[in-house]
Amino acid sequence: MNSDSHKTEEDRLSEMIATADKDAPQPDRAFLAGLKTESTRRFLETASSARISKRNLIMAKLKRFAPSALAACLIGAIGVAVVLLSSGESSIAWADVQKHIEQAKCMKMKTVVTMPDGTKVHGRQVMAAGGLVRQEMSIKIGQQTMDMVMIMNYDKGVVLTLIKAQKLAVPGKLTDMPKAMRDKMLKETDQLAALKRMVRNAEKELGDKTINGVKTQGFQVRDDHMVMDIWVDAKTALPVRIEGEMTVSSTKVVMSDIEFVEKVDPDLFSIEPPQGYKLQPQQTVSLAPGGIKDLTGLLKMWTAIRDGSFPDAIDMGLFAADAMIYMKKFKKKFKDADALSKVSKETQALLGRVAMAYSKELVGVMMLMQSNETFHYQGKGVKLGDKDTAILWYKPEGKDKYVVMFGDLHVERMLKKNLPQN
Amino acid sequence: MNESEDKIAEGLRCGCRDAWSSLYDLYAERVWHAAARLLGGNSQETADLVQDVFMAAAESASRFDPKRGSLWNWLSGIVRNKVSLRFRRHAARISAARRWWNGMNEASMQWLSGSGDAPDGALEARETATLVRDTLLEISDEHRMLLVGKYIEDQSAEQLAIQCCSTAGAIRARLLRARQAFRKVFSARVDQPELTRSKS
Repeated sequence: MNSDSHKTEEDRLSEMIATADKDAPQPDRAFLAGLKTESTRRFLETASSARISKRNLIMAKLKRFAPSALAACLIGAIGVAVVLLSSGESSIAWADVQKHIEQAKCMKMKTVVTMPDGTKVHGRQVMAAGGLVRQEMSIKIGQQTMDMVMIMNYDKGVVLTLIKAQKLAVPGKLTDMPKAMRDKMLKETDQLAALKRMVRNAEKELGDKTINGVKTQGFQVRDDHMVMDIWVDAKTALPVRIEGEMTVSSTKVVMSDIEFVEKVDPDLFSIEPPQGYKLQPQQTVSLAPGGIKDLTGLLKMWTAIRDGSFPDAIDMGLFAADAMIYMKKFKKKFKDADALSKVSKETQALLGRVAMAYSKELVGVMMLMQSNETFHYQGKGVKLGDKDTAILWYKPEGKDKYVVMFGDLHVERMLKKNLPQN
Repeated sequence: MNESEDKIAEGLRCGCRDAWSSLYDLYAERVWHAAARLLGGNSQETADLVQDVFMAAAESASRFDPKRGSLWNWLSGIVRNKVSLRFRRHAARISAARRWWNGMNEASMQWLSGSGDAPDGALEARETATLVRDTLLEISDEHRMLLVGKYIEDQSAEQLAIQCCSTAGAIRARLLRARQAFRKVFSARVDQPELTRSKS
């Protein structure tokens, strides 16, 4: 026994309370340093949303809604391109864009996407919290109209594509999702970093304009790839119309009839095939970063549909645009209403490769570009077969040397100091 | 609040990055310590909780009202709420600690009330720390802050008075009431057959 007779009641209680501190872990300073950055970002985002000035209120709301909406529209356009290319018989890969739609509030809108060749894709979209997206799209080429629905659940990593004409239901599964991407998708309340950056940097005000009887104010945001004019209700600060244009591919997007609702019918996001639809085999899309094989496959196919020229940039929208232009060339050869089906027969091999690129090579390359900061592309203006001109390079994780790919698609490995000059 | 805290509070309301940075620098480690001692977990558990605390604080900082208390009062309240939510998961551990304490028969309570020696190993036992944490979560925010400040952080009555916008004499009186409250809650917690925590 300890001799405690001299201790006061306060002494005893003091000793007792201090026991709570005995086995408490000491501060992890590295962790706290990281948390400072993360919490600062959250603080700034929240504070920004809470500001009472009209402009800031407007911009805060745009931060939340505009990026996801625009991304969804572009996904729609790309999706249609894939279906066209595969004549309704192949899968659709949404992998490289899924990160963009993470946690949209319940939102409905109409969209019109105009591809560089003038083809228009009309659609309706519903987005809900939890990474749920439903897109209904309709595209008219010649006498044919193609209708399709895509239901995406980014939380579960599943996609269901419904092709109305053939009554086909194509399920998709995303695998190998990088942890950082998954964390971002599940935890982040904001959407894509690039568009957030755009909105944050929006300094140009476009003035007032009345749209469908609603007085609006306009703001223009831009980055290297996109320009967006965003028109918001001058009273409520909610978006009324958003017009975006990709600077690389000239793809245009217009969003209108934008509604924000508390709830939507959960059946809209059901990934069960509707009655009467023929279930196709599940398409699995790996989100693991690709490598040389994916790059070679993608660029070989891409240059084939571009008359031997490398693209200006490696960009999904640009790929979709090139694919659409390529399709139109074949359509002209047939000059009748069944052009699409004839194209699919005559050029099955190449179109199959293009379609498959979406689910394999393009996704792999996009993931590589996203996950590897050293990736650099400079193939603009280079022709396939140019063995002396480097078109891209990157340093694989854990390696000392860079992988350098040349215009004839051969690969060399070299130290940073030996990289070609830009 | 002192001038520096006033400045931080004003900055938080305006969404100023520097204000958040100052707040974080001032209190990050203190929040860690508070979370660690109330939770009693390992470093990873503490880190998770500290993250929750600062994310919650970041989301409500622009609405911070200095009339309702100091910055530390606000942060420690968040810590308490977050710990409470997690501590409920440890009901079995608390029950075991209670049985252990009661297994010492009267000796433990006699010591606590000042009429005997501490049972062997009582102050070193993990169970005692668990019961102390359980009690600290149950008493009021003010009492917890005073007891922790005085008996763990080793702050003087004068220092606590500055934090509480009070006088040293008043703090001593409040400390007495805080100890009484602690003992009363502690006794009640170890006495009750099944532990339940009132909603906070």
